Order: sequence, then structure tokens, then C-alpha cells
Amino acid sequence: MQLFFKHIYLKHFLGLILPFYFSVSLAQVEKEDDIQNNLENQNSIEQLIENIAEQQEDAEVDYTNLLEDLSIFLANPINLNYATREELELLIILDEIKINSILNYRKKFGLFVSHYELVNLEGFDAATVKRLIPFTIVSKEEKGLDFKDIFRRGKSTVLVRYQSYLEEQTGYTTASDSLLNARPNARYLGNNDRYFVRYRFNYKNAISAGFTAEKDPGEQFFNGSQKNGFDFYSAHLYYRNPRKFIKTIAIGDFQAQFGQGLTFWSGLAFGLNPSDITNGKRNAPGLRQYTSVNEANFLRGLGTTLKFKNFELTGFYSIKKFDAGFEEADTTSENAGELIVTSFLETGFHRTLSELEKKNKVVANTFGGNLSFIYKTFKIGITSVSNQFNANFIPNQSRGQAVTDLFRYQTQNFYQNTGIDYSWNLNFANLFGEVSRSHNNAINYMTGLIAPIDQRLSIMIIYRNYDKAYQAFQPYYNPLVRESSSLAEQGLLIGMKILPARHFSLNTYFEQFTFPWLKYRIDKPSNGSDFLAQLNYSPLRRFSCYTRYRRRDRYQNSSLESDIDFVTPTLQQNIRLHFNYSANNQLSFANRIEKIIFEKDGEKKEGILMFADVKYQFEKIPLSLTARYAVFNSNDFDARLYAYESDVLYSFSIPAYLNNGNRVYIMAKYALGNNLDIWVRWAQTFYYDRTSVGSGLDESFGNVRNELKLQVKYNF
Amino acid sequence: MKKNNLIKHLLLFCSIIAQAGIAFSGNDNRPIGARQIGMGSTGVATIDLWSVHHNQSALAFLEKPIAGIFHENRFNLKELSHSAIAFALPLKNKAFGISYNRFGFELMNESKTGISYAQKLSKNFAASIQLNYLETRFGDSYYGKKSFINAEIGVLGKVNQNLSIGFHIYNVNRSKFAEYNQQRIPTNFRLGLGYKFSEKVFTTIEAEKSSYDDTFIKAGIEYIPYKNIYLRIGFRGFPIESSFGVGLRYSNFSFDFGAAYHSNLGFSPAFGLNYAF
Repeated sequence: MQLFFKHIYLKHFLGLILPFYFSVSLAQVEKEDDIQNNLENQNSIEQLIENIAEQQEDAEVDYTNLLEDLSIFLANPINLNYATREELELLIILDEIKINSILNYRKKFGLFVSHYELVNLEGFDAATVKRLIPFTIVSKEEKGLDFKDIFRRGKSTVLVRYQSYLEEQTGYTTASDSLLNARPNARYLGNNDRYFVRYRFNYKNAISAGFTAEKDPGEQFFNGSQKNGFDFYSAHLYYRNPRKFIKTIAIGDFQAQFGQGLTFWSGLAFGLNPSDITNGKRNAPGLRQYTSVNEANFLRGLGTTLKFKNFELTGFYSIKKFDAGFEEADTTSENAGELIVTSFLETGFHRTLSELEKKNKVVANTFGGNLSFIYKTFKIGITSVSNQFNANFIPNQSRGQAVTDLFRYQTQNFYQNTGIDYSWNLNFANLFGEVSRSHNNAINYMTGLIAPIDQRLSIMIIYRNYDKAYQAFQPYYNPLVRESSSLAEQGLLIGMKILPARHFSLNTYFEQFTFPWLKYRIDKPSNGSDFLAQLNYSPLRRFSCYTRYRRRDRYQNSSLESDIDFVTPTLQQNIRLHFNYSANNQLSFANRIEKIIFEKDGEKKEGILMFADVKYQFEKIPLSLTARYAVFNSNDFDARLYAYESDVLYSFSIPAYLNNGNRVYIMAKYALGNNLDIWVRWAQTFYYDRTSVGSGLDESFGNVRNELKLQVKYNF
Repeated sequence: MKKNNLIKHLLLFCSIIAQAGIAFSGNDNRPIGARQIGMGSTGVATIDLWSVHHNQSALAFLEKPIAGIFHENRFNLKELSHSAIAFALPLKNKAFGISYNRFGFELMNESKTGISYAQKLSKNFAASIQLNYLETRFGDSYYGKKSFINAEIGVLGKVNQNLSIGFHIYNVNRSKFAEYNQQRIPTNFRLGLGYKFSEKVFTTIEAEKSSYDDTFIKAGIEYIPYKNIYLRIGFRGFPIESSFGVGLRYSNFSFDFGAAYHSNLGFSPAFGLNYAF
């Protein structure tokens, strides 16, 4: 049975930090607008994250890095008059159309005088401009970087978090010696708690340094297998100055992301945003600092980017250990006793003896780079990367995945990928894409077009074709895909953003795709289609709502009794209605109702979710409260629903709602003085139809699960 | 051997049509008009020559007489070729149309000859009727041919200068295909909207229900980036089938290309050439 909860770490600044920053900043925005900004930004980014979460199969994913730039811009707003195209691309709120409008305006008319000039530009409306205000300034002065200032103007943050489930899970109960002798992995070695410590130093957008340490539940702490304390440590030093010859230096843990992700892209990436569909082109940032706690998809070493005239050259080198399932080569074979890797693991759990055995088993040497040429509206880059391992990788045939993974994994101890990516701004459209080749000569390519054909209508078309034999090292490979589990796909996606009337926006996409080989739960090549339509309505400052319909046509292995293994069509439909409204500057509410219907083999499985959220910011004391009461009922794993939850800073949960029950959480944030923030969050899930929660070692008895989080953040 | 060839081709024909999700009862009124095919096979709210198929009442809004030819190879197979020729003559408040189309190959084909009459009932509102003579032949008439008559009606109204609404019913008289099993040709009902965002952008969305099939939603967008150049995309759902097309105008001629894309069976390219007098 699948892990029930999905905990996803993500910086959640919207409901909590934005009001705080506004109370100290010199924003020219009225207080009432703050609520509006909060609601719209919040909706849009929440949906982005939900969308990715629904596609992720992994239980524990940290999204901190994805919103890294936004949080830096919040503290150091970018000047719209002098920002380069790349700097504008880091702001995920801006899509290609809007960036082009800003740059074209500057070229023709010079500097902006105020934010409100943007409203008349192509791709902008009043609502978008308001969303942009927290992250940008419009100023005649161009502030350079003054390095004597670093320690005076730089800001540091220390953050400590404690998290635990209150019910005792099987993995933590005492066990008899005889049980442990028979099954040594029957218990977790460490305690139930999660500890997280983070230190960051930031000087504007230019310098970032820090370290992160995390202990997962079940792992030991300064004891036994964890003599160094935490199970996971990460540190980085990062410098960026886009106007100089040495544009970027990264030392320690970093990310490298190029093109559209077909050749090399470590870490996560945003997919389609149901609130802003035509923002589907990836803007690769090159080298970035790594600040998340995912234990697999990042690089560890050093890298630099140099800039001269119209060229940018990036080079990097990384040595990183990965957890891996392994065997030793047969004593009869020629490499007797040598290490053979059978699978790469990305969860980062080291809680049992068998998980510890797999820890850091394989070393990957990665080196590569990118050379880009940028001339006016045209950009082209070439990326080439090599990954070398200290062991041969031979997929585990006995797992029953042999046929499904036939092309995906081949026996090898290295991966080599090379690709060319391009982006070209034509008169009325942006054309972008990437072609990539893996060492076995398999080719992947994707190409897309974004065209704002009318003030009220823009279109995006993306075609992709990923060869089933394409070889890539998974933690460093992240192209646009419909299903992340196996990457052979061909698909045509058409997205549209329509502004039918004042206060309304309609986002829709439809996609038809083919999987040229088998996939998990689909035992033959198949095809499918996806459709989504979302209508947003924001008539008033204090009220906005949206309705979304989504539909997925796929094939899956039939569950019917048969001598033949055959696939059957399945249909998933989701319909959701969501409201946000605020009573005044302190109090706001959100409501949602969502239904999912899953049909297969003539049966219909259904799920429903309803919730009410409340947020209250006290006026006289620096305390804010956020709470939710949700009810849900879903009778099948395929009819489960997801919903974004408010969480403490840098932590994010998007639980899957399954079975019949309620979920409640309440969170309080208190600002002690100017520098200290304290959070307390309690969440509970209650089931009507279960006598235990979770499975395997994570199972606890009783029909309730409580979770407690405490976090302290100190700025100096 | 002639008989073997026929059976082989018929089986190929049936299996392909069945896979493509179209009910094989014959005479499905497959669309003609490369412009419409490029826009997801929409057409009920579109005004051009090929409204002789999609919604004859649109002919009353034409300004000049137009003649045209059309050809499509469904799934790129010549056995599934679809050809048509049409002419529309608009007069002061009415219009006449005549069209002939043929689908299939020498061993199995269906043809339809239609004469239509459209009348403007007010400045912005027109209705139409078309009478068709259909013929289905098997094996070079060796296995015989069947012929029947049916009728179509349509209405198109311009709500304002940007928005139009139309509906069209094919085979209103539920004409019979065969006595055995009371097999009838499908009746198709289409209802759609057309909206002009600007002189450069036209969009349309419609729903179609055919007797033996699910309801389909279709939508299409036509964009004119430069004078005389047309770009089109469209889709039909569900499951989704995308389509795209281009068009060029030169003097009185217009040339259109459109293709639908099926996930398994590939592209169905279509061409059309019109001449306005």
C-alpha cells in the first residue's frame, strides 16, 4: 500500500510573510490591495504546487528551491527599469509575453515611471500588475552591488524546526530480540521526530551562503549510525552578478539547469499552471544554489559561469554519493565481488539496517557545461554532461519490471547527454525548444510556440517526442512530461488563455499523447489525452473564485479476472469550485468543494472533498492564526484528491485525501520583536472507516493521526 | 481474386474506422472543407463555400459566388480518400448551393449529391434546407448498390458583429440504410458558436451528437497574422484529437490545407482550392 501522507517541503510565504513584510516596507500600495495581492498570488502559486504534487509519485519532496527566487525578490525587489531578460525570467509570475512587452517598451520609450504604466502593455492587466508589485520596484536609479556593504547589508536567518506524529507507529514500538534477530528491519532505529536546522546568509540577489541539516523520522541522532548528528547535511556558497565577466560561482551544493530539461536539469521544475497556462516555457537559470532537503537531485562540487560579449560559458564538476540497491557480482563471473547497482533511491530515508546499507553506496562523478549565444531576440545553447559511476548499473530483473524497463535502463556505468536548446522571439510569437542525444544515439526533442494573437487570447503549442531508449540519469533529468514515472512519451499539447470579459480569465489546455512503451500499470504501449479548463473570476478586491474541470483518458491494466493481461480504458474527471473572500484586513476565508470520478472496467469510484479555511491577523498583537476544517470521502486509491495546506515556513504538506474522514489543522505564528518568529502547528486526520492509519512500519492503531510542528526563525 | 481483394479491403476499412472511434453504419457525413478540418472539424458557425456541408444557411451571408474542390486522404490512405466539388451562388437575400462528394475507393464507396437553398429571414438571420441523393456501392456494383434520399436543415444567426450562433441537422428524416435490422443512417445534430476576437482572430466551438456515437465537443481558432495568410488549430474531444491548418489567399483564389492527428493512426491531410467569381 502506498504511503498515505505526502509531505512536501516548500517555502510558504504567502499567507504569513507577505503581511509581515508589508507592515515594514515602503510599498506605495494601499493596505486593501495587500489582501488582493495575497489572494491572487496565493491562488496561482498554490495551484502550481498542487499540480506538481499530484504528478509526483515520491512521498517526500522538497520544493524550497523552486520558490527560492521569489522569496529573494520579496526581500530585494527587482528594478523593472534595469533588470535583464534573465532576471525577469526568474520571476515566475512573468511569462514570455510579459517579459517581451517590458523589454520592448524600455527600448522604445525608455524608463518606466510607475508600476501602473504596465497595465497597458501586451499581456498585462490590472490584476497581474498588482501581483507583481511585492517583487518589483520602478526606480530611475540603478543600484549596483557594493561589496564593502556585504556584511553590513547582508541578512542572516537561522531556522529550527521540530516535527512529530503523536501516535505510536509500529516501527517505533519495542520488539523482542527474537523478532529482531529474525527480521532485522522490523523496526526503525531512531525516534519518531523530524529535526530541521537551516542557516542562510543573503546579500541582495548576489551572494547566498548557508547550510541545512535534517533528520527524518526513524533515523538516529548523534547515535549509532549517525555519529555526525543529522542524517543529511548540505552547505553552499553562491555568488551571482549578471553584469560581470564572472557571472556566477557556486561552491558546495548547487543545481545546474539548462534548456528545457531534456539534456540536464538537476532538481525540480514547475510544470503547467492552471491559472496561467501559456506560461509553459521553462527559463533555465543555469547554476543555482541548492537549499532543499531532497537527498538525491542536486550536485555537490563547484561550478562557474563566465560571460563575454554575447556568449555565456558554464562549467561544473560534481562528486556525489547516491543511495542505491546493489548486489555483488557473481563469483563465477570475471568481475567477481564487484559492486553492481540494481536501482537508485531518491527518498533519502536511512531508518532501518537495510536502508542504511544502501546509503551512499554509489559515487557519481558529473562534469559538464553549457555554451550559450544570445543575440537580441535569439538565444541558442549547447549543453553536454557526462556522469560516471564507480559501479555498473544493471537493472533488477527479478522485480517483475523487466519488460517495462527494457529500454529505460541499460547495463552501463556512465551516462552522456548532449543537447541544443533555442529560443527565438518572432514578431508575434516565441519559438523555443531543445533537441538532445544520449550516448546510445537515442534522440529526444521538444519544440513549442507561444503566441499572443489577441489582447484577450494567447495560445501555446508544445510538441514533444521522447525516445523510449533515451538514457538519462534520473536525478539530473527533468523534461516536460505528462507522467513522471517513465519518460518515453510523444505528445502534442495546446494551451489557451482567454480573457472573455472584465474580471474573468479562462485557461484551458488539451493534450493528446502516446506512450510508446509499457509503463507502471500499463502493460502495453498506449495513448491517452488530458483536458483542463479553469475559469477564474475576480470581480472585487475582497473576493475571487474559480472553477476547474479536468479530464484524463488513459489506459490501465484491467482488474478483471482473465487469462490474458489486457489494458482497459479509464476515465478520470475532477470538478472543483474554490472561493476566496476577506471580510476586512484581518480576516479572510477560503472554501472549496471538489469531486473526482474514476471509471474503469465498468465501475465508478468517487471521491469528494470540502473544506473551509480561515486566516486571522490580530491587530494589536503580532499574532496570526490559520485553520482548516476539511471533510472527505473517497473509496478508492484512484479517486483520491489533493489539497494545498498552509504550513510553517519552508515546509509544505499536500496530503492525499483517501477514505472517509475529517482533517483539521490550526497554526499560530507569533512575531516576537522584529527578529524572531515562532510557529506552532497542529494537524489531525480522523477516519470513520479505518481502525489503523498508515501501513507497514508507519502504521499506528486507532483511527486518528495527530501531527505537531514547532518552528523558530531568527533574523539578524 | 476479386472477391478476396474486396473482403481484405473491407476488413481493413472496417477495422480502421472502428479504431478511429466512428460508428460504422456508413454515410457518417464526414466533413469536407480543408479550412474546417484544420479547425477541428467545426463548421456550423463558419461562413464559406464549404458551408454547403456544415451549415447551408451560412451561404446566404456570402458576398460572391464561389466554386471549389476538396480532397482528403484519411489516415493518409488512398483507400480512404474523400473528394468533393461544390459551388455556391448567393443572390440578394437567398443563396443556392450544389455539391458532390465521394468517399472510399473503387471497391467500396459512398457518394452524396446535394442541392441546398438558404434564405435570409432578416438582416442577421438565415435558415436553409438541403436535399441529398446518396449512393453506396460495393465491389464495383458486383455486390450491388444502395441509394437513398435525405434532407438537412440549418440555421445561422448573427447576434452582434462578433458573435454568431448556428445549428444544423443532417438526415432529419432518419433515412433507412437497410430493411434488415431497421438500420438507419445516423442523424447528426450540431450546435455551435462563433466569436470574432478581432479582424485577425476568429474562434468557434460546437457540440455534435451523432446517433450511434458519443457527443463530441469541437473547437477551432483561425488567426490571420498577415493579410492573406491564415493559421488554424483545433481539437475534438474526447478523447482529444488535435488538428491544424494553413490557408493562403491570392487574387480570387484561396488554397487551404488542414490535417487532423490521431494518436494511433496518424495524420489525415486535406486540401482545398476555392475560386471566388
